[in-house]
Amino acid sequence: MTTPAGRPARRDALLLSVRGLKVYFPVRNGSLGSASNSLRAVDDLNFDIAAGETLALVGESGCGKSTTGNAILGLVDRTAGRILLDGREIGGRSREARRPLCRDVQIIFQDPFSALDPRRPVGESVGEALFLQDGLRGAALSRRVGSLLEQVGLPASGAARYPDEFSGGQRQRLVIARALALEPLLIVCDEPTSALDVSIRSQILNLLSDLQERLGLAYLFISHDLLTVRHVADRIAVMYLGHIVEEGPLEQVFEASRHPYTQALLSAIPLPDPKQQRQRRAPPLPGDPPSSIAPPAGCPFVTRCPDAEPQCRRTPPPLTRRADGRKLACFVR
Amino acid sequence: MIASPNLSSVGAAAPLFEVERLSVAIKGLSAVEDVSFAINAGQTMALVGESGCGKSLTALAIVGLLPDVAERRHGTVRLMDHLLSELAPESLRAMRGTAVSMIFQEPAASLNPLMRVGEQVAETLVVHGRATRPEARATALGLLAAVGIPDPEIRARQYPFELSGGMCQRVMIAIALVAQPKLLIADEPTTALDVTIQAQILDLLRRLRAEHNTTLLLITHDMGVVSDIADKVCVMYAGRIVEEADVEALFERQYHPYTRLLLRTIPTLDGRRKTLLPTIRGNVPDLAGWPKGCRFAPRCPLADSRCALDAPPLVALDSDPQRKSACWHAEKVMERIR
Ligand SMILES: Nc1ncnc2c1ncn2[C@@H]1O[C@H](COP(=O)(O)OP(=O)(O)OP(=O)(O)O)[C@@H](O)[C@H]1O
Ligand SMILES: Nc1ncnc2c1ncn2[C@@H]1O[C@H](COP(=O)(O)OP(=O)(O)O)[C@@H](O)[C@H]1O
Ligand code: SF4
Ligand SMILES: [Mg+2]
Ligand SMILES: [Mg+2]
Repeated sequence: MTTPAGRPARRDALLLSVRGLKVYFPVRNGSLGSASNSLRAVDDLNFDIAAGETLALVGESGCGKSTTGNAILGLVDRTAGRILLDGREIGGRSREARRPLCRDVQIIFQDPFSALDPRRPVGESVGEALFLQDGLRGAALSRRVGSLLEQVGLPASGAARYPDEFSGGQRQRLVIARALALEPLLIVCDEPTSALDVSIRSQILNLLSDLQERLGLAYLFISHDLLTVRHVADRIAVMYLGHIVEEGPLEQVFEASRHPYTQALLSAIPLPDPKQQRQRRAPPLPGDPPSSIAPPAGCPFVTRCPDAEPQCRRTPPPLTRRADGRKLACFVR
Repeated sequence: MIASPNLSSVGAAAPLFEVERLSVAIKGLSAVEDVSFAINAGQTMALVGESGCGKSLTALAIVGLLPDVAERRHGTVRLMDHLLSELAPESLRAMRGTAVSMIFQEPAASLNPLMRVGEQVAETLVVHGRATRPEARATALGLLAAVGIPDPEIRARQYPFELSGGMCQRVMIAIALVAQPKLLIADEPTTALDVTIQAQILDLLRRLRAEHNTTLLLITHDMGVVSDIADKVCVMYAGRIVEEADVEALFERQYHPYTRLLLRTIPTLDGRRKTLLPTIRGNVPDLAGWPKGCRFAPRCPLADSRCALDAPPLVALDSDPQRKSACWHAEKVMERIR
C-alpha cells in the first residue's frame, strides 16, 4: 500500500469522527401545526470510522442515512456539529478546511446512470479531478486514467467511449474509478448496488472489497440491504428518525441485537431460504415511522416500541456505551 | 356473468389459472417469449427475475393493460372457465374488476392524487355494485380497517400524498379486494417499501389467502420475498421462463445454471462474511441484443456449441418429473456449479 506522506498509514487508526452532527431542513408551511418548523433529518449523530474499515449505516427510508453521507462530503449544510478527518476539521468555510473534502473523501451514489456526463468520453469524467486538482495533462493523464480503469476491471481503451456504451454494472465501475482518482482515504458508498441487476451486484461488492484490501480504504456503507451489510461491514450503526439507536461490531449486532428497533428490523429481513424463513418469521412490527417534522418527545421509537415505559415518552434515551462494548440508546434494554 | 367461450376441456382438476405460450413484442422486438405456467386455486406463484426480463409485461398482457408500444403476439390466458385472451376489451375490463385484480409497485402513483382515499375505495365499491352510495362509505371504512390501516376514519379523509408508502399500498390492496377477485396479481408490491413495512404487507397478503382462498401471482426480484410467501416459483431470464418448481424444491436443488448462480451470489444470514461472493460473468442483455440459442449462454459456465445455437425448451426432467428446466445440461447443474 502506498500512502503519500502525512496520511494515516496504519489501519485501525481513527480516521473520521462525527460529533453532534445535526442537519435540519426548513419546512415551508407547518402543516402539521406543531411549533417546530424544521425537518430533523439528522439529529445529534456521533460516530467514528477507523482507517481501512467499513461502517454500515442502516435504517428505513428517510431516517437520515444519505443526509449523513452528504453532510460529511459538505453537500448539505450542517445545522450543528463537527466532522474531523484525521484530527482536522473538514468542511468548514475556509479553503483549507474544504481541501480534504476534494481529495480524501469521495462519494459513490446509487444511480450510475445519472452519475456520468453522457456527452463526454468516460475517460474525461474519470480523469476530471486529476486534471483540475493535480494539473495532470496529456499522456500522463491518459496513463493514469487507463490504470484507474484497469483497477476497476475495465480495459484502459474504454476511456474513449461514451457512458451509453456501458452497462449499469460497468458504469458503477466507472464511478468507482473516478472516486479513486485522488487516492481518497474514505469513500461514502450510498446504496452502491441497489440500482444494479441482482446478478451484477456481487461483482461490484467484490470490487469494493478488493479495493479496500489493496488500498486500505475506509467505507461508510449506506444500505437498506441488511444481508449485504452483514457480508461487507465491520461495524454497523442502526438509524431511526435521525438518531443512531444501536451501534457495534457487525457480529455482535446481528447475532444479539439489543435495541427493540434493531431486533424488529433484523427479524423483518426475508431470508432467501424458504425453510429457514418460514420457521423464523415473526409477527411484523406494526405502524410506520413518525414524521421527522414532528418527532415524538421522548425516544424516537416510542410510538412503535413493544417495551416502551413511561419515561420513554418523556426524554430521549442517550446513546451510551454498554458493558459488552456496543452503544445503545434505550432505557429498557 | 360475463360471456366467454366455453371450454369443454377444462375438467374439475384443472388449475384455476393458466397461461400458455404467451409472447409479447415491443416495437417488433420479442420481450416475452412462450411463457407458460399454471396456478392452482389458493396457491401463490412467484414470477421472479431481474429488472427488464419481462415480468411486468407478462402481467400486463394477462390483464389486457399492455402499453401502446407493446403487442401480444400469441398465447392463451385462462381464468376458471374464461378465456381472457379471447375477450373483447369491454368484457376484459369487467373481468378486471371482478375476477382478477392487479396491484402495482408504486402505490402512490396508482391512486388518484386528487381524491380522498376513502372516496376512492367507496367509488370502486359503487362501480362494482358491491354497495349503494349511502352504504359505500361505511363499507369502505371496513375495508380500510381490514387491510390494517390505523384510524381508518381519519385516513379515509386524507389524500394519497398524506399517507406513507405502506399505507398507500394497503389502500391499493383494499381497492383490489373490493370485488373479491379469484386471482390477485401483485407486481413488486413491496419493492418500494422498507423491510418492516414489507413484512406487514406480506403478512396481509398471507391473511387474505387464508381467509378468502385468493390465488396470488406475485412478481418480484427478491428471493427473500419468494421464500417468504410463494408455494411455487417460475424464474425468468431475458423474456423466457428458465426454471419452474415448488419453492422448497427450488432452493434445495437448481436445474438451471442461472437460478443456481443467482442463489449463490446472494449473501445469506449464516454464510461466511467478508469473502469474495460468487459472481455471474458478463451483463444482463437488453431486448435488442438477446443472444440466439439459450439466452443465458454468454454468461453460462456450462455452455457448449449447442447452447449457442438452439434454444432449450422448458420441459419436465426425466429424472425428476415434478421439475421443469430450460437447459440442455439441466442434470449437470448441481455437480458442475459448486
Ligand atoms: N434537501 C432536502 N431538503 C429537505 N428535506 C430533505 C432534503 N434532503 C433530505 N431531506 C429529508 O431528510 C430526511 C432524511 O433523508 P435522507 O435522504 O437522508 O434519508 P435516507 O435515510 O437516505 O433514506 P433512503 O433510504 O430513502 O435513501 C427525509 O425526511 C428527507 O425527506
Ligand atoms: N412501455 C414500454 N416501452 C418500451 N419498452 C418497454 C415498455 N415496457 C417494457 N419495456 C421493455 O420490455 C422489457 C421487459 O419489461 P418489463 O416487463 O417491464 O420487465 P420487468 O417487469 O421484468 O422489469 C424491458 O426491456 C423493458 O425496457
Ligand atoms: S442451455 Fe447451455 S447455455 Fe443455456 S443454461 Fe443450459 S448449459 Fe447454460
Ligand atoms: Mg438515501
Ligand atoms: Mg416490472
